[in-house]
Amino acid sequence: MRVLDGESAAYADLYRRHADRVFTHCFRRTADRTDAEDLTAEVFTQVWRQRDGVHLDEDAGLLPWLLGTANNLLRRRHRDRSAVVRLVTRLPVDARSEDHADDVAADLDDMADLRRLSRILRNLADRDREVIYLCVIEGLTPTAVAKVFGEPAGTVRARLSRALQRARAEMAELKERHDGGDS
Amino acid sequence: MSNDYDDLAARIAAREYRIDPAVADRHLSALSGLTSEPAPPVQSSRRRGRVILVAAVVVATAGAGIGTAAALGVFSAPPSERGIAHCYATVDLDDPSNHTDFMVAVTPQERDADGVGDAAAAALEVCSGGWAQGRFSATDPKVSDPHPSRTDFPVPHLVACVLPGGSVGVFPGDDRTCAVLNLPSALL
Repeated sequence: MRVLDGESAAYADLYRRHADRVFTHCFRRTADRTDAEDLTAEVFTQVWRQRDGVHLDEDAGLLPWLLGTANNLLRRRHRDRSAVVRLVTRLPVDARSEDHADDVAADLDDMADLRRLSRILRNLADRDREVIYLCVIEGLTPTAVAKVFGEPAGTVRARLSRALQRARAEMAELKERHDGGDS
Repeated sequence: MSNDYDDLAARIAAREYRIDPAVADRHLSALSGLTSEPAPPVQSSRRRGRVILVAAVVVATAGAGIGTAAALGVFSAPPSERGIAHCYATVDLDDPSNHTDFMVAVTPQERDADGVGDAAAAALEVCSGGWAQGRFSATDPKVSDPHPSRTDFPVPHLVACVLPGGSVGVFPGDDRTCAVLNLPSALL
């Protein structure tokens, strides 16, 4: 792929092709549009810096690696909320596109679901949580995720099975607690 | 039978979001600065060659009666790329692992009359914070993760130079450091 050779135009194409998918993933993980924008920029910065070490998946192209990079950044961000970086491509509200306000209004409707999922998955191990996001929410195959994780595909399938079981149990417990609280 | 979790996951998976086009433009602009910089590190022999060239220029300009600052190779330039900057742990352009890249945001309040901000000052602030958090060390050329709680690691004197790609590079050093690297020191 041309971007791996460091061509600037190919890199811009890569951004245009995948930015929405990366942003969507980051937004689903953070439930915060501005954080997701920052993370998207970080992911593509990492792409450029680490282009020699990219794991290409034949079916899915670079997307698994991009989303895996986003997960690494998210994990690091959780460890260090005070990170140096003024990572910032943040725009003032009045500089945003006109239809951005509509997007933000629509986001608000989705926040409750995103936060509920985050709460259900928060007690899972990092990798188990990530396999849910990558395979179930993003629709990547366990084989593609295995390449990103550097694990055998069978291990990823086992993680997925275990994580799904745990997520369903957490959801049931949450619902029970909620219903119990109502009564 | 459908589980509540599966319904929730399916709802979330069905929704897609778009990055704000104005933000995407800003990203592309900032990232183009990253890609326009020379990808491979400068070879030591080339750098030595450039330092020798600087020395030759210094001798020539001193002989021509040009002012002391110019004779010492102390020259300045504004960065042409203000979206990306770099913190260096050592005064070395050859080492691929002695620096971090980051995006610089200059807030509207920080912009000058021409609408540009002081990318060098923003970069110095970010890099100073990195040293204070232990990301960079005088005894280790590699960049580390920041210390989880300490922010009192020693911060050396830092200088901002303009790299060949036009972005700001912040190095530990003094007024002569940019000239030693044959780089202009960074202006607003």
